[in-house]
Amino acid sequence: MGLSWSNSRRRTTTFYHPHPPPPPPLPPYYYHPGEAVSLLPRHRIKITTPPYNNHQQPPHHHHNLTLILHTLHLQPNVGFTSALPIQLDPAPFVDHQNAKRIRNDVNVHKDTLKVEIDVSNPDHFLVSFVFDALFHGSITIFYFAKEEPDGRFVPAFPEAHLPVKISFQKGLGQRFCQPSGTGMDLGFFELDDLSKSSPEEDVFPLVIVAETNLPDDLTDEHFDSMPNTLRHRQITQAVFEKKNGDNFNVRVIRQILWVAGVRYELREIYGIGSSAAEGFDDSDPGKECVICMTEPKDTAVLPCRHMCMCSECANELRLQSNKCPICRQPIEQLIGIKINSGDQRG
Amino acid sequence: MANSNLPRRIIKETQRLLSEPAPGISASPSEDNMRYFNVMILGPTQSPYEGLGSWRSPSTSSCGVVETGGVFKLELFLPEEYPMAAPKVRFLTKIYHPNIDKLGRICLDILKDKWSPALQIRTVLLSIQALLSAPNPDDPLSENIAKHWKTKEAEAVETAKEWTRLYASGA
Amino acid sequence: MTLGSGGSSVVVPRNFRLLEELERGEKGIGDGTVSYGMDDGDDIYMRSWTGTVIGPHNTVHEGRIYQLKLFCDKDYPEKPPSVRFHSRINITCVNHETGVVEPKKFALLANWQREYTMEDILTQLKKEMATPHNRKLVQPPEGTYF
Repeated sequence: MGLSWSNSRRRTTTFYHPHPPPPPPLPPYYYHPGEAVSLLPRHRIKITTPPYNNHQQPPHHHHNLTLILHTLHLQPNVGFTSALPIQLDPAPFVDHQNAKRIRNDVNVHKDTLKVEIDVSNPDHFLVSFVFDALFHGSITIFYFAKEEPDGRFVPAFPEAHLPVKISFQKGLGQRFCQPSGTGMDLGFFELDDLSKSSPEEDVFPLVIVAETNLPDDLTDEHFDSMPNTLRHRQITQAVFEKKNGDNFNVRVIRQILWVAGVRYELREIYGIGSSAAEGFDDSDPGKECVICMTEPKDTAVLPCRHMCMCSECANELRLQSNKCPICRQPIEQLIGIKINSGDQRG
Repeated sequence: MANSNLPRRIIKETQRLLSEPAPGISASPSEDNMRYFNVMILGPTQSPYEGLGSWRSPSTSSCGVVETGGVFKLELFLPEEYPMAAPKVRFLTKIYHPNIDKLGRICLDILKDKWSPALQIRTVLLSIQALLSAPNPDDPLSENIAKHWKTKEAEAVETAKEWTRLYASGA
Repeated sequence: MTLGSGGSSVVVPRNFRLLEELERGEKGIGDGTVSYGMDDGDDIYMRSWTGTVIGPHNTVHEGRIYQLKLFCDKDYPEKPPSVRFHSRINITCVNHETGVVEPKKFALLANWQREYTMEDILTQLKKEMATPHNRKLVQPPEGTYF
């Protein structure tokens, strides 16, 4: 099936964590794939050369540790993502397993999410982003929406705004732009509220729900490839950050995927973006296992979610210090993650 | 025989150290033992181990740099367990520092319990260079020097500078 | 595995090998009848060492404390250290005039291998004191030195 995807550099992989998710621990140190690791020496020396940027959020642009990638692989109907098997208590003796891949029919590229002023309707802001969809479906935009246990979203201030729902056609790498006139006057809210997430109450200032239609609506050849009658729904929860002037940046806090009635929380795997996804080149320090510096890295560590080793070295480390090479947290589990396309069907 | 079966990681690290040396640090393997490195670290600027002193002539406004020392020799060895175990490193140049003892042994956690296989020769040497900028007399290896540092820091710093001039001239 | 041998292909260089031996000596060895330490804590090349052997039971050496000097030159451990008794002793492998342990008469030095350590030398000398031809030899007065 020859559907090519022009923006293939975006191809990435997402890692889902089954619900309920543990609070995401900020990794204490960040790994920069190109250079050494910023582990603090005993005397708390801060090495200040740029790669050693301790205790800081990774910069929010593309080339960093928190590469999350998303989604769909090149074949149009193979939208798989890596995920943990749905198993809340991993069997005690199973400590190395391969990530389960979950087909993800719709995905919002979280680093493309923006709000912009509606030029024909000043003070109102329109949402835009890039997304992939294997089936037709719809996007719904909520402001200050609360997540119900069943995965529905309910506006916390229904008097202030109602959700906006817009249909889309299937397609990869398409740009969603909220139609003029349907925007939101963010001036209505306090800046403090806009920049605050309340995960414990499941209320976020901006919630994007992207869902595919039920297969009944499908009229094409993909019908057979989607035996499951449940629609896929991906939720992106974000906060606003005041930029210069009247503009806002959008910062995505988390993404959730509902597939076959199961809720997965998208967790980033640190270091996955520089892994072997695009073919392994032995001379590229970002893609190689940090231990042997020879094999491509294909194994992530739980609970810290650092991906920096090949499976052989990871298993060896399990017998040695059993601590993550990046953050030194004890290793509870190893997850093999193969990113190469083509063999996900198994 | 000493170099047979050298792990690929060590070969790569060596190549990268030679082709892209870190500023103020050089490390090259011995000919007869590729796990044994001769290392030079320049004392960091604004530390008592600084290598270069600058001067300015008030009459002519000309500037210059005087070589006053600050070149520290070390030796580094990658044990068989490396990278699961830390490299072994010590100073060969005498140095007055609360975390370095008379035999040049270094008190640095990443060389001991805080070692991680994600660290490399380069990062270890950068950490040692950083240790020169940030002596920590609260976790000493040399009790006397640490005591000196804590009670009369200015004087201890002067001694460190003096030792740098005496022993770390790079000659 | 012998201290410092580190497997077949890994050669621990002299200085790190001696640092290992130093740390081992500082921790204390076995039953304490054999010990050693560095003479000059400022010598980064760790050349001069003093070893101590307590004479083994059921020999004329029992209860005696023998002091030895070991000198590890640049080529240690490829070559053995030079070993000399400081305390006077009468055993076959030790020169009666100088106290030097003569390699020709002491197999460990004659057939030296780089895996051998100063501890091995001292332990072997202790065994030497207990061999049939050494255990009953008349000894010089205690507390006399070469």
